Amino acid sequence: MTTVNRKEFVSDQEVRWCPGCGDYAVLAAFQSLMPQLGIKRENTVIVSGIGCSSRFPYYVDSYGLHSIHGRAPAIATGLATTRPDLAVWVVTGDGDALSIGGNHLIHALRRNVNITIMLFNNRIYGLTKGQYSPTSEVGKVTKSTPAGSVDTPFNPLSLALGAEATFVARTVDSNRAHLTEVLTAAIAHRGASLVEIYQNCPIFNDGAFDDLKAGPGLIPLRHGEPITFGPDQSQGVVRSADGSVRVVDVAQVGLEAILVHDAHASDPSQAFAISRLTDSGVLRQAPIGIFRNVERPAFDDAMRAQVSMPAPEERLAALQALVSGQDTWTVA
Amino acid sequence: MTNVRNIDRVVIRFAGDSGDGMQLTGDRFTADTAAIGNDFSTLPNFPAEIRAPAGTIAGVSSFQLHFADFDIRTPGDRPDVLVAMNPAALKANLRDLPRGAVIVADTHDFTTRNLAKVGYAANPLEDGSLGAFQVHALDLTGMTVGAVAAFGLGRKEASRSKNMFALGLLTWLYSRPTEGTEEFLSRKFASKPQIRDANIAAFRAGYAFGETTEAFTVRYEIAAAPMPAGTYRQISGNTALSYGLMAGAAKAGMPLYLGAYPITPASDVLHELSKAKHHGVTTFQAEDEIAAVGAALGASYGGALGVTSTSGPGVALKMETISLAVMLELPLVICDVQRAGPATGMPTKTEQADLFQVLYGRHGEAPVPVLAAQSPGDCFDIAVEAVRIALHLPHSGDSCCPTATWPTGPSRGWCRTCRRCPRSTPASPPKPTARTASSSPTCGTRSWLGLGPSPAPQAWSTGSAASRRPTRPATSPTIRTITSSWSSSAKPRSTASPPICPPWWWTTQALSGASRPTCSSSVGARPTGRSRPPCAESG
Ligand code: SF4
Repeated sequence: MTTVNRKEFVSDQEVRWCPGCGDYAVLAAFQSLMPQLGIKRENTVIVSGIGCSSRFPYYVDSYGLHSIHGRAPAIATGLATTRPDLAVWVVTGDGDALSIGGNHLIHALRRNVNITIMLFNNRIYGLTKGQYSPTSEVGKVTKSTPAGSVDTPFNPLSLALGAEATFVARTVDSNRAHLTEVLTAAIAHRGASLVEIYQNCPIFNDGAFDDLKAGPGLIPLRHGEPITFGPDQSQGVVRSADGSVRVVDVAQVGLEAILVHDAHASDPSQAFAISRLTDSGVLRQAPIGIFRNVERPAFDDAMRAQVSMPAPEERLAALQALVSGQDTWTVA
Repeated sequence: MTNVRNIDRVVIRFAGDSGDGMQLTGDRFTADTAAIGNDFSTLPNFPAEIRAPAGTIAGVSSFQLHFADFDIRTPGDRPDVLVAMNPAALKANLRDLPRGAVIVADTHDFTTRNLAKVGYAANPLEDGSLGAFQVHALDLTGMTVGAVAAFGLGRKEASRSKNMFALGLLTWLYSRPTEGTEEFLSRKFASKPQIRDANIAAFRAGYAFGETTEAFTVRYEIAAAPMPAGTYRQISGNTALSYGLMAGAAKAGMPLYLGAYPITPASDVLHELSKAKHHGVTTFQAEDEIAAVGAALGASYGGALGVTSTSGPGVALKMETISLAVMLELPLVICDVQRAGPATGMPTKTEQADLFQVLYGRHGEAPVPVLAAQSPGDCFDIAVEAVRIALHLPHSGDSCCPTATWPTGPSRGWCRTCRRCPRSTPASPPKPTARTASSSPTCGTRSWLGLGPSPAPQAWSTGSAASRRPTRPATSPTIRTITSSWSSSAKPRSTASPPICPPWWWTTQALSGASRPTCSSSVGARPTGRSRPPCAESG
């Protein structure tokens, strides 16, 4: 068996993201991960939309399409339906997936198309040089919002859970091990997987995720384990009477009262409640990990099951019968 | 005593309320007309309202049929005969009638209330306002109820057969055979013997009424039209288009993938192809028009034949993806089943106004060959041809027709093909010229039949490593718009017109037959093998 190494997934294209861009880390993680998983590059297709992150397919030596703004999930749907032998990835950003392509994203998720979506969320429009995005906090001052933005941002994971997604996860560009772990689970999931990746844009939104270091911080989710975090796991998540979840001191309530994370729960309510722990303004607190990972028949498998192709020699004859129809008349 | 008069052509319009069964009546009359061997063309006209209030102008549904003893091309403009089942049908259609036209009106529905509903102060059948026409005011409903009394149906149920009474009368008037309709009714209502018998009785009563009444002094005969020998069927443009797409994909040995979003009047293509899953056809009802074409393009990238069907508003939304398909040189067939009007327009009305959109709708240099079908039957050939070109066309940027490369931005200097400055807009737009396969210098760079199902995706250039990938043979660009007219229930075209693209070796010989209208010569009889179609020689 030939060993596949990272280099096989490195294309000969010069990587042209800005120095320090978080995209580099994701690319490197991806290029190492794929050989580890044993997925051949000729079975790998990366479909991207438009945006900084959408340059991704250029840099991976596999099949790829740099398509149109927001449309990658639609194109990937056609491809995945046609080709069960391919690992189809969608690389998109917060503007691409949640603004112009919001419709395609939610429908790909609810259909459960067998694709893996990496959503690079830098909370800004980078490629167009710094306008606020659908994940920017209210009051964001940018070139297009000099007086501060006034619209409420999306919580991408709440959106995905609401759209009946079967695999929903979040990771960060700065944690290679976590990134690799989450992406591995995402590609293993049969159906649509959405992985939101917090990605720093040092040029137009530098430090967007820095407050996580100061505040309550990242809340790691591990299936089957109580949700605790912070120094010495002193903080934890409990369920409130109204069904929402909140952060408490573990010492106050005791470890038994802490919510145990269940990523495989068929009802998405708890995953949704956990997704609401994400700050929508300045980001001081955000759960990361796999929020939801459940089995549901994949759209493309079900589609293919309905379609059958006659043997080549029978195909035209079958078609001829159809074309001739039942009611014919003859002119001599 | 009834005289028989021979005439060469007639246009009949059946009009009534949406619930009166006018489409079925027209369909049946068409089938009987086909059986006689007349040439014909039809125009169904539905109300846009799904369930318009009964008796209103908005709720009028009509079916027009033009038939003749010679070759005709259109459903006709001015009906010689109007069958009006209610005052709304009369009012909505009266202005289309020439002087002297025959009006058969069902007096039963000309009640004060119904007249008032459409703004008639007095009954036009009685006030002399129809003096320019030959009016036959008959109680069709009353006679129908009488004719079916034996079957024990309620009055409402009984009166529903009035369309068959009217059909019977017209069948007599124009000397059509009756067996076809009787067989049809027996089949259609096989599970409801009461309804079946009532309908057949009404149909026979209508026929007998014509024969016995003194109201009609003339009966007409229209001889068979000289038609090329062959086996014929009725087919709508959308059905022919669907079959053509399937035939094209089958000839190419590729699976067919349709991405579509429901849109009148193109949805029937989606419906038709959705029934063909056992022919290797995948249909995807997308979330919107853009996703529909996107998925089709994705499927093409995976080695299927990607097709999207839509109408004008959908084409507008798909333009960016069409440009992308040109750029990626992937096969794609776009079907534009045209509706009327700007913006959303009029879904149930037809127009042929999308030509400029499909020729010039894209940005940048994204030339797209455009084919237009000339008849419902021709939609089949056009679809096959579109598939052929889509899979076969060599690189599009080289020698395309002037229209397609006409620069659109003021910063562009000259169109290199026609050498006219785009700033001085030509008095008339450049003449649409479809690119022909024969003009292509490298037609046949890849074998049309050489594509196996599910080839590996085509390498998209990301550098030299592309050469190491398992790619299929260099693909050709490929994109094709079909502009088909939406018309229903007409025969395959009966005369060969100058083809927009050169006749294709097997289309003309095998599927539709050298003598056009036959659909029955076996597809399997086509030249087989993996040889290249001789398109290079055709120019
Ligand atoms: S603009 Fe921001 S997101 Fe885009 S490449 Fe530069 S650093 Fe990365």
